Amino acid sequence: MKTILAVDDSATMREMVTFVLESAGYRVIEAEDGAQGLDRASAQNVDLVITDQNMPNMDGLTLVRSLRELRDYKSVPILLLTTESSDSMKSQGRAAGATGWLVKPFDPATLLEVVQKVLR
Amino acid sequence: MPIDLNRFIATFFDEAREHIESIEEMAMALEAGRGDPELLNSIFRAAHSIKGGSGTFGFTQLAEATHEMETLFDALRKGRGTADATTVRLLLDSCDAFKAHLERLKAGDRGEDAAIEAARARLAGYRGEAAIPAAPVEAAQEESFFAAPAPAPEPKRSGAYGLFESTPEPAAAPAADKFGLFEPMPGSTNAGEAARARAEQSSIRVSVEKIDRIVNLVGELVIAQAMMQQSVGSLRDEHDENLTHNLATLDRNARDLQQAVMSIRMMPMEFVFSRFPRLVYDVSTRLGKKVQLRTQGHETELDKELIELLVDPLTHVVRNAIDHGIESPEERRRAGKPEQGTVGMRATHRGGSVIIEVTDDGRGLDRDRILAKARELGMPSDESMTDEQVWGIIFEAGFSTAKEVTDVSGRGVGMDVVRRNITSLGGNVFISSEMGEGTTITIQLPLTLAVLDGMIVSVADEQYIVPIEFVAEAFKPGANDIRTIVGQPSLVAVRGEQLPIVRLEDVVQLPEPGRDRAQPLCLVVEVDNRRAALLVDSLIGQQQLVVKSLDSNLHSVAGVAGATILGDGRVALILDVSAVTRTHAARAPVKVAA
Repeated sequence: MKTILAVDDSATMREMVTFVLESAGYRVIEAEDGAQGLDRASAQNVDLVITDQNMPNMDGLTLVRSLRELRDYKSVPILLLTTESSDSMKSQGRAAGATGWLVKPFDPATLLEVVQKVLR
Repeated sequence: MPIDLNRFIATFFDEAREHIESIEEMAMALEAGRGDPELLNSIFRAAHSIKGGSGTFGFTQLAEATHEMETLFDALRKGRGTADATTVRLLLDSCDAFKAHLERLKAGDRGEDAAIEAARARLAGYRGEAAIPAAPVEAAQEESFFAAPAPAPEPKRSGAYGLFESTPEPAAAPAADKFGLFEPMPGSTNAGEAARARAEQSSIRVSVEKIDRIVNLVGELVIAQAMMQQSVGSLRDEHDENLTHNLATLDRNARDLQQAVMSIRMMPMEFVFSRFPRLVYDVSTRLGKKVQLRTQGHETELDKELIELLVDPLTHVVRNAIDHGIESPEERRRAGKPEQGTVGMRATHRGGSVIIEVTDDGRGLDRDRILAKARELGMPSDESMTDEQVWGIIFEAGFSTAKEVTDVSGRGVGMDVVRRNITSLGGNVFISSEMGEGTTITIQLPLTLAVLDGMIVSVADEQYIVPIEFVAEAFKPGANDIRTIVGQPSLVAVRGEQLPIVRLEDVVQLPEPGRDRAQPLCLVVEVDNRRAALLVDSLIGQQQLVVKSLDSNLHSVAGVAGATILGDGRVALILDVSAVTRTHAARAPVKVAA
């Protein structure tokens, strides 16, 4: 079973992402901000990271960059799930090493589609 | 895949409320001159989160209003404009509107809300007034870390997500790794497993009803266990060591289980304290006083039920401290104090109790004024009364020394109600005060209302429970110790102090009152400095008891606080000692010269 790390400071958002992914048979672990996300990702291997951008302690882009520093996370897909889908956001995401982005609020079917695509 | 958003809505409401509360808190910190960039960032983030959630659930009005707030803070954190007292007021008012709107949404009212629209307009208007330029939402991320060329804009249809082609940088990750799974590092599995276990300290939401049901069932289990213990105890002849041992294990486990279950109901004082910064801010600005709030012991835990019941009395005490305790800035300056007064709230555990102290560094209680006022009101008062007794007058019904009724404290609710509320929870209130230095109100509460340590007493073959916290001592009075005075309750001398005697059979209205006892026992009970001697036939013992409410099954019975089931399966009533002393005991017992 693939494990997905969902990082978001919003409990509502975490709950929704977890619900959608668990319903599709994935195992989901959650983190409340970038720093916790980094801790959780370092503590265990995950197959995919889905992270919010705007969070306390450590934002999503910093998390992506920090994860890419880790040997185990050089190639693990990381998706930015964010309300901001501006071009500058996208280019920053790409530069940080993210695999892709997804806008909030998200459509469950789209979330699953992207997840399946990057996990293949 | 269809997704029912309603299952997440409760989480959103909780979360939005938390965010609004943290915005309030941070807004007040802004004015206190602590407007550091991280604070502005945090407010921005909180507004942003509410906006995001509102959008998801289609709460357009809330999304629009929080968008205005977010825009305002985005501008502020980028140094376009500064926050002042007007900004803080605007934010607090907006938070009020957000909260009220949330309540409407919670109640299922999705209609047009004029109040939140007004808040939105005010936020938008303020930005105009303060000449803070509106920033487009997406500009929130405009600071660029890399000068990467912007990719071509995606067509709207496929704009919901996108995948970057070359990621991560090829140099950092060999091509072979691109689609591979991790190659676990040798020997890392066990450490990894342990870390995994550590990392999964997550939480789940459970309804209070479910928890209360478990608490109840565990209570029944403990009672059944006690009954079993009693039955085995009576089999003493066929003493079986195994049975005794196993029973002791069961007893220990049952108690551990009970404690663990009770701890689920415990909540940190944070839930109470978090309401007060706003209260202090509102009350002090209305009164033109400068007050800072210091809270301590946020992590101190208390039964959820008590937490909820504690808010009102504490609110009253804090209001009083600001209204009557803290002086005006001029008065403080004249007294050589800093203009800003301090109200402190501190929660600590002491034994089986929680102690909550509310302190202020204001003018302190005025002994002479309280005594004068008491005389005026015809209350018992005396120059020779100790300070403690004088402060006690404040708790009497109908007492208020405020020169005029203010709209802050003068709500017809006095300290008497505070004390009644606290004692009805099995707690106690104390005051200590120093003229010119300040006042401390100390509230003592049991950790929980669900179990209590009780003294089992008997009268005429019936057993009753006296909560142990109210029992000061027990003794057998000599024949000469009891004095019967015509027209007054009988008195008993306890080390020079004359205490009124309360016959338990009178309290519980047993037939044939006043029958003679061969050797009655006196239980000295004390509530709010009122002492009384409860006359009983005998003391059976001391036991931890599970409290069963009478109110939910019968109705409230005077003098009875609840019921419990004893080890032998009998039901016993728990005495409401504070009611007993109120009706039967005299206050401030007369000291007899030794």
